[in-house]
Parts: sequence; structure tokens; C-alpha cells
Amino acid sequence: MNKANTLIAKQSLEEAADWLIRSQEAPLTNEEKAQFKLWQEANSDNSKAWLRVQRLMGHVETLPKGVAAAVLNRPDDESRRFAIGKLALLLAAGPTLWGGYKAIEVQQWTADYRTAKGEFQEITLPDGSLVKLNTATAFDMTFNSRSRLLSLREGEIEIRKAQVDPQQFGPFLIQTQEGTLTPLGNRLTVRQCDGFTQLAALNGQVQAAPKLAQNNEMMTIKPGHQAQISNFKLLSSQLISPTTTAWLNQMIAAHDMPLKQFAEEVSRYRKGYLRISPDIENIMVSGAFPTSNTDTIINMLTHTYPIKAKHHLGGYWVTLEPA
Amino acid sequence: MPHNADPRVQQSAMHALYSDNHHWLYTWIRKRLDNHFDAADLTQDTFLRIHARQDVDTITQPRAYLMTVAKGIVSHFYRRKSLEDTYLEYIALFPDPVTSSQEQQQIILQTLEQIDALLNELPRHVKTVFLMSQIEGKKYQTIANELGMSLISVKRHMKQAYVQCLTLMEEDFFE
Repeated sequence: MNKANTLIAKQSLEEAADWLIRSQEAPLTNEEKAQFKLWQEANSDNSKAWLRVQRLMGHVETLPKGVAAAVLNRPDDESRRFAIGKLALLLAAGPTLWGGYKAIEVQQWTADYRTAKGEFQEITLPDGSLVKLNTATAFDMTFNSRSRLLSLREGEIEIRKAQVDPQQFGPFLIQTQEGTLTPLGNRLTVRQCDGFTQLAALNGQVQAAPKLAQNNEMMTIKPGHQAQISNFKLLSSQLISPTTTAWLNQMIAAHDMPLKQFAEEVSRYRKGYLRISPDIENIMVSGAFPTSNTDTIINMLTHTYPIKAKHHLGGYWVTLEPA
Repeated sequence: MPHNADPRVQQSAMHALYSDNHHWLYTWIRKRLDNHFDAADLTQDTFLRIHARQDVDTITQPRAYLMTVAKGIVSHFYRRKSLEDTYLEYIALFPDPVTSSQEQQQIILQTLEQIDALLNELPRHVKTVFLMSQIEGKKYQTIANELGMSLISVKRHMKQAYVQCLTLMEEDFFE
């Protein structure tokens, strides 16, 4: 290839960059569009420079963003090798050094968090983000300069993302059994349900990539919306219902919820078995109930609805029947 | 020494360079790598690179020359290796959303290598601004807020990154 053929005047390349930046800032006005056309036609270097812009942007746009961010943002080779060395040292030193991460500036943190049935916890991640864990929840965390990844194994979490230096921490990602979520805002809840993921975008949008979506399609969940996602697609999306977020205040909120479904909710928090007689499973339950004590909930039900509770096995097994 | 286009002259000069320095160069590269198969490959690559230039007969300081070429090849090797490692690590963490077919993966990896090469020489903060804009899809004002710099600086960095990419892209780049 003869290099002289491909040489484009530096000025044309700089002007092409200016036009590109202008068009990325805001759509060009008609007047600007006319100016741009004049510029492009002014000489062959300008038009060649613009073709080059289009070729560059074409390639940048085809890249899957997650992997591109991780790869292109990877630490410089020197610091990367250094970081690996430091991590090995830290691991060799054992868990006593765990709290010292800030001083050592090790580049990766991992940890597992878990709550038992009926437990509720709030924790702070190494980047300052806050996570609330609802009952029977488990997630793993892997933080490094490429990404901040939470893998939700079971249960339900709320994340309040901290503002961080993007050079130190990569984008925040949440992985569930169904796919990967990227919160663009700073607050959301995610629940691993049986066979689907439920999320609520409390602040800012969330992008969801179901793991088997056609063409690796990404879905956007708008702020203020909750959505259900399967392995393949967005199942549904609607405005956030108070019942979805009541757990943050350690409550179950029900609005005309069939007793059968209500009992399933209560069971998430309750050690033991709660059985509903088929005769009453369609009673509609409304109200707010504290999750910290499920016996209280059962008492509230028996006082409000035509229901009685039979306790067996020292309260481990409870059956609700028509009164 | 003037350049001699006679292929026989090039051939015999190359032969001499290779037999005098092959073992020395292999040892030099080996010390910089963890693995001797790679070292043997990179030693070959260095000689091939020099052979392709067809100017062996003009070399007056063979070892200094070999070392300069080999340094470039070793550093490129490390860069490529760290890129591939990061890529593989990432697709192991997120197997499905990113790529489906082997072929698709190769295309993505190749494009990443090319863009990485374009961005390689940029100062770190310029590269960060570019990636936030083009990969994370953030607006210039958002980037300015997040990095605590002025909008003008963000635009200046973007321009520097674009001009760098456009300048380094020859017509067959990305092909």
C-alpha cells in the first residue's frame, strides 16, 4: 500500500473531528447541516477525512460495550502485572489484611454476602455503595478496575451506587440467573425469582441484557418502572408498585392480593411451613404487615379475615383454615 | 553503507545476521517472557521483520538493531496478551450477552485490538474521556461532571483522541 495515497491533510482531519464532536453534542441545525455539506465538498481531503470518521465510528459502534469497556480500559500492562503481584501478596497474607484494602490499593476485591430467612441487612461495599439484603439472599461481589460486579444468587437486594472515580472502579453490573443488568442511575432493586428476574429502576434507567436474547439485544427499563426479565426477553414492565419496594421498610404491602400469593410472600420470611386451605386461598388481602415477625402477620390475618390458624410442631407448621 | 538491492547480497547478510545472533537474541527475549515457546516465536518474528525490510546489508550495529526491533515486538506481544486475557476473563464472567459465535468473537477481538492500538499512545485521561463518551455512551457534560473537568477540556480531549485515531488509520485499517 502506497502511503502517499492515503495521506490526508492534518487540517482536514482536525476539522472532521470538530464536526464529529459538534454533531455528537446536539443534532445539527439546518444551517449547520448546510455548512457541513459545504465543508465536505470544499476539497477531496475533507470528504476523505469524513469517510474515515464514518469508518472509525462504524467500528466503535459494533463493539459490545461491556467487553469493550473492560478491555480498552484495562490497566496498563505494567501496572496490571504489578497489581497481580500485589493481589498474590495480599492473598498469601491471609484474611487478617482484609480491612487494609485502602492502604494497599489492591485492585480487586471479592466477597460473599448472605442473609438467613427472616434476616435483613445493610452493608457498604468497598466503593462506598450501599446494599440492602432482604430475607434469604445471597450475592457475590467481584470489584476491580474493569467492573463492579454483583452476582445475585438468590433473594432480593437494593443497591445505592456511590459516585466513584471511574479510573478506579469500572461500571456497575448485576448478574442474575437470567442475564446482566447495568444501572445507569444510582438506585434500584433486583430480585431473583423462580425463573425470572424482577427489577425496579428507582432512579435512572437500567439496561438489561437477557443471556439468551436474540442478537444480544439490550432492553431499557425506564426510571420509575419495574420489569420482569426471562432468559430471552423483557416479560413485562409497569410503573413501580408500592408492593415491590415495601420490603425496604421491612414490610409486606398487599393490595387485593389473593391469600395464596400473600402466604407465599410471608413464607419468604418465615422459618417453617405455612399452608393455606384451598377454601380460603382466594380471600383478598390488603394492608401493610411487618416482616420482622411473621407470627404477628398471622395474628393480624386471623383478626381481620374469617380465618383461623392451627399450629403444629411447636409452631413450625401452621395451617390457615376457614374460621 | 549504501543499500544494495541485489537479493543475493540481502540473503547472505541475513544469513550472517541470523547465525551470529539467533541464540543471543533468543536468550535476551527469553529473559523477558515467562515461556520459551513464545520466546522462540518472537525471535523468529524479529528476524522476519528485519528480513522484510530488505536492508540488512546497511546494519552496522546488529545487536543494538536487533534489540530495538525485538523490544517493540515483545511490548506488542504483552499488549496483545493482556488484551486477550482481559477479553477472555470478561467473556468467562459474562458468557452469553456478549458474543455467540466463535467467528463473532474473533471479529470483536480484532476490532478491539485495532482500536486499542489507535488509543495506545494517548495520555490516560484523554483515553478515559474517549471511552466514557464512545463506549459508555455518556454525554460530554456528564463526563465533565463526573471527572470534575470543564466541558471545554472534555471536548479538547475528545478532539485529541479523534485526531489521533484518524491520523493513524490508513485506508486498509480495519480491513
